[in-house]
Amino acid sequence: MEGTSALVVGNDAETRVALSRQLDGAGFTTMTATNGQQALDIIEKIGVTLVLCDWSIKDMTGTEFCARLRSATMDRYVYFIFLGAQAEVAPQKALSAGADAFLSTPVKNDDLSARLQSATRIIELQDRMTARNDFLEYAYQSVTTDLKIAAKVQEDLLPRQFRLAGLDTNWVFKPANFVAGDMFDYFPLGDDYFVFYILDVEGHGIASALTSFAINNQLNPSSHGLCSKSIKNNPQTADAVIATVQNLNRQFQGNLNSSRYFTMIYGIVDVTSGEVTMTQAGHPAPIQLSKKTGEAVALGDGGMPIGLLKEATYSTISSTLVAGDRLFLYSDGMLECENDKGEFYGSERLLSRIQEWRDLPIEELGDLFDGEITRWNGSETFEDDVSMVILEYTGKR
Amino acid sequence: MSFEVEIKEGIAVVAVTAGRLDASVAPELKKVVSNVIDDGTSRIMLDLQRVQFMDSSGLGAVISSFKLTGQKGEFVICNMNEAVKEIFELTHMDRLFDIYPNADEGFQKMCA
Repeated sequence: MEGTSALVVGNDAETRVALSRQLDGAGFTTMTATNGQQALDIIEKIGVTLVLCDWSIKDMTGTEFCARLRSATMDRYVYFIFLGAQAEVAPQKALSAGADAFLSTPVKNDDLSARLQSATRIIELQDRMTARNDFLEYAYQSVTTDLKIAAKVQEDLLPRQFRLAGLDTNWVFKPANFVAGDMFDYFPLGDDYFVFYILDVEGHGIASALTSFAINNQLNPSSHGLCSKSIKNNPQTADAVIATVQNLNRQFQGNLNSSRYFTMIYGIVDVTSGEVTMTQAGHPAPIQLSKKTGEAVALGDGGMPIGLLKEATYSTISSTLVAGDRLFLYSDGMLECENDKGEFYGSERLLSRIQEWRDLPIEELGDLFDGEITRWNGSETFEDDVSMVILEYTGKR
Repeated sequence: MSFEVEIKEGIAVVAVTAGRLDASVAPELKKVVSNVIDDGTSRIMLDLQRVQFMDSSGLGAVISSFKLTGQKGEFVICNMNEAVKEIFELTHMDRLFDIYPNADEGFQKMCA
């Protein structure tokens, strides 16, 4: 029963009737019970907001009744008033048994009415808190639902092809909070080139993810197609790479109050020759694994992130891939992933795993690194976004 | 407070007292530096002695603070540990700032 409903528990019929009348007058919907068990049944089935209970009832002690009431799981708080002769029970004893108030019998009308006013205030406060909690719960659920949809949208933007002309691929993607500031993509450009990038927008969560969507939109060949324009306008691959990141750096300059910058590896593979040209804009160093020697080497010596300084300049890293060579790109969320002892996963461990798993097929590496970093992290809830892109040059067209 | 500010000889020494300069303290750094500048001091030394770890948000806050000091101001950094130094090197931000091994040396250079 909703609203302000009261229950009077006691042995004496006359007292029950008198109290009920007064409670009705104070705006309560009143029920009565002659013993503890009956009262508990009513509370369980119908629910009440206020209980007036005689210290001595038939089937159990008042203390026991109050304890059983308090231990039951209820959606709302029940305001509990003990009634008893002052000589028979000390008010402190009633309060420590779990009651909110004690009234000595015979109950004076004024005392009861003052106590009911105070109870009503508490009950109303309780109801407002319950309503607010319900609202927060609803708001939380709807935000979570939206975030799950956003996460699906982001996942759908990730590349789904794993065998492309000249290169086989795989990846790992673990957003810290549904959506990630990490993003990556790769695709063939014409017959001659293969473009790839991985980026990490400062911070993580929704704000970072929105920026990563916007950057992705700039680069994607089916929307703005910044990559193809840069290649068209620059015959030299290195110039095309630099033109792309400089363009992004101009577009994504924040103002003084917001410095939402991002780090990135952006690169182009000449599919025929295996030559790879990339720029390292503040992103952790790409790692090249040689098929022939089995050695993994970090390439490049850093570079300025994008969107941080207008005057930033960029340089390129060049390398040559031969059939079977692999390139690993990854975010700092992987290196800075901490285990339960607070140790970072780190680049040494990553390098040795890359070498250790060199003979395993690339199709297995996504799941292996996913499992590896999740084990290190100790759960599926990551502090920062973790992403990794693996490219294997096949040379086959 | 994750920061302590001491002004001597017209130079504001902003010491980070938090062990991690990350997203949880980054906005506070910008606010502290902005207050120092509003109070009339645009020569700032950021002391990172107690910082064990800095993430991308922390780096962003340092760059924003540097931008706040403007052309006429000065912004130097001292007491970087190896992990923090690596981030500055990776992002080439070590080329942007005057970096000193300790506060005394930084202070002397700024006063010279």
